[in-house]
Amino acid sequence: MHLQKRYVDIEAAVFDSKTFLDGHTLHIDREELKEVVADARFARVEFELAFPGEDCRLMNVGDIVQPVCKLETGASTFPGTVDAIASVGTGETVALRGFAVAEILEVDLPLGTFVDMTGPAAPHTQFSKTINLTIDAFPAKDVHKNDYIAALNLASKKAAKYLGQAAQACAPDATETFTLERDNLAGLPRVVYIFQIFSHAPYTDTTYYGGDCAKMMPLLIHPNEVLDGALCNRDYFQMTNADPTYLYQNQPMILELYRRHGVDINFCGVILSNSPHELADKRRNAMLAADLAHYHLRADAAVLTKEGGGHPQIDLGMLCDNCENYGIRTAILISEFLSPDNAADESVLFTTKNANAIVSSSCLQKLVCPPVRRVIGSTAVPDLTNLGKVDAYGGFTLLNHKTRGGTSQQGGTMYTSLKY
Amino acid sequence: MTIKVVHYLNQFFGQYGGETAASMGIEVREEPVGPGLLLQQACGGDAAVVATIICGDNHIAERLDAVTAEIADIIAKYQPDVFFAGPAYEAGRYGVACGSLCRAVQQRLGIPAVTAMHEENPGVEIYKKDLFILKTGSNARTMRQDVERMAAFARKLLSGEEIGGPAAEGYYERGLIRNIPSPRRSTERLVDMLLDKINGRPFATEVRLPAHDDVPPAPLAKNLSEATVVLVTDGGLYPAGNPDKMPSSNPDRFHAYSIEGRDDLHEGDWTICHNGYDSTFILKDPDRLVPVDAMRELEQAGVIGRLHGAYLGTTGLITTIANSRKIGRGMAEYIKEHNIDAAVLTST
Repeated sequence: MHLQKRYVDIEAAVFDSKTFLDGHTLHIDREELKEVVADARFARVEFELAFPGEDCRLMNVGDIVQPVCKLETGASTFPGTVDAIASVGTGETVALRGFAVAEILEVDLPLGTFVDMTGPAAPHTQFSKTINLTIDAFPAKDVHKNDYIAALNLASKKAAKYLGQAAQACAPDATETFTLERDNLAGLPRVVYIFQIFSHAPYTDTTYYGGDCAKMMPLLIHPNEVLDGALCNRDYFQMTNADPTYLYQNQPMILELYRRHGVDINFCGVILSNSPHELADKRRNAMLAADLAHYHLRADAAVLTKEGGGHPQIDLGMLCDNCENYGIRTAILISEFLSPDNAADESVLFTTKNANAIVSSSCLQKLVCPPVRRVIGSTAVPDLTNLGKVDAYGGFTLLNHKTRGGTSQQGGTMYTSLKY
Repeated sequence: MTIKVVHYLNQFFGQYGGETAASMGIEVREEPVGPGLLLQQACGGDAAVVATIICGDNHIAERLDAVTAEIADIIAKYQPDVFFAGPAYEAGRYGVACGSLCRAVQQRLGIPAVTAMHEENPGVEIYKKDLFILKTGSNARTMRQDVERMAAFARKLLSGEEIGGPAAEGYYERGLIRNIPSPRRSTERLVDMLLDKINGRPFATEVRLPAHDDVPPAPLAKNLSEATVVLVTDGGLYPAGNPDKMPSSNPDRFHAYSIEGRDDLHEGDWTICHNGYDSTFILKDPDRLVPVDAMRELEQAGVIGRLHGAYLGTTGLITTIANSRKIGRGMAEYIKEHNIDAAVLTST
């Protein structure tokens, strides 16, 4: 598989009477965009732009998507979600950099998230640095919450494709090629990425080519598929533990492994494995994933990451043991999120001695968010105790996992944790 | 503007004597005393030790909270910018007093409060979570250097400069954790660590595994048919309205809720306060989390002696080990007080 990404940098954006790219300024036709995302499950949709450094807060943010478009005729952008099911990860894809489409939810959800474009919470989300086009969708009368969510999850990707299309004819500012074929791999350790996703039930899940993953058993996949729109975030009920689709499109673990491929490792493949809630299913998935790594990929070593909350840590421990029992050396990336009161020694639920190489992707901490002048999105977010609500305009203190990507478990932040 | 400093010393360092003076009360001198003179020098020309508070180790140890409050009142009157206590070295009562005072000053005045003591001083274990406690050796031979470090550290706190790790700054690890920026992304550090591991090079894991106690379950002390059994849950089930305002994550308490006279739990009488699972099914039939119906059947059939008239409820979601221990101990005490023989724990 050979994928070329063509990056077009967006430095400014305005609403206009038609959609086009003028240098690095993206002009957006709101009316046409409304038609693109129109859905019977919406009463109406409003679009806004929010800029880095602006005194602006995006409230109740759902999925965030990078505008992209596959360039070949008939190729599928977001296969199984927007376009028809077709293999991705080959050919050419244009991607806008510095710009994102952000869903604004107009229904109450237990773990709402936000993005501050400036202020002390801003550095904790990478989306304070992108120009964000917000899709503020209002549910139609009598629409079930899950149907509204399904519609919004689709709308953001339709909008992302529409905007990606605007850059189709542009000369890219940079290109990047992703291929596992390399000449100089002899003698390098074969490293597999066991990518543990979290799919519990529809709308608390990740989709693969638009398909549910709750009952999925481990799959051998190509890293390019993740980078090219096959994997989409659809988690609205455990949002604080889920990275948005944007992170899959630019998946940090895969990008790092590609960077090192042929240098000091042989990136031999990706195993997509879900974290189910029943113990027997956990044991089965952990066994099958390690078997794929050992018998089919002949891996010497594995990097493991997770999504979701506490119980997916158990799967990581099992995966670690199963791999190490095959002689596959493991290293684990984990977010230290079991510590809202900042106690240092209580971050991990598994105790296997095999897990002796663990890197922290971040830890849970409090964020003081000051009052803001502009709010996009009208619903308040549950406060720290989840018993009350906070006023979107007012100052409030929340945990950093409430800001989108604040405790990214795929390496989305440039943090480590300090035990002090 | 001169930085105003207040310093606390015990009877010995305050130059009133040794053990014989340990019961002396509170004395205030509006000048640096003993080690305070070194402290004054270390703080430099833009700071002044405006008061030294001296107190006997026994006097404060015997009524720690009351005397701490009394001394905090005195400190407050001077409106200092920073407070120093000690260094206390190995003197246990002194170390505890220093910790207690620093904590009170921090909480009440919101100013930096710095103390220092030896690692075996009981004050370290008690107060390290609340304060920065600088490390010292076992005796006052190193007083000058220790006082200089305290002064330098206080300057950092005053300036709002970010305090680094325990090893770099010379304080006891407090058991806390926070995010700091890293020049290398976590994914890069992960591959580096893996390569070190594969190649047999030394590496340091960033996250330590917890050390759990291995507690064997206690055997039932009597026949099950004679035993009183209590239902316990961490699924977050509470009476409708959540009258005790239990949080939806990380509580540090539990409550006992009466099921007296109930053969099962009805929809509408109960609510769930727990964000970790889909509570739809439990809300419709709370017995499916706290199985009162099944237990009553066993009680009527004589399989168990008696179902205890209340269930113990809490919320187990990102609940810290410290809170879990506290809740567990509390539940165990309740169980003992009520002569309960066995507990059935249900979760989600």
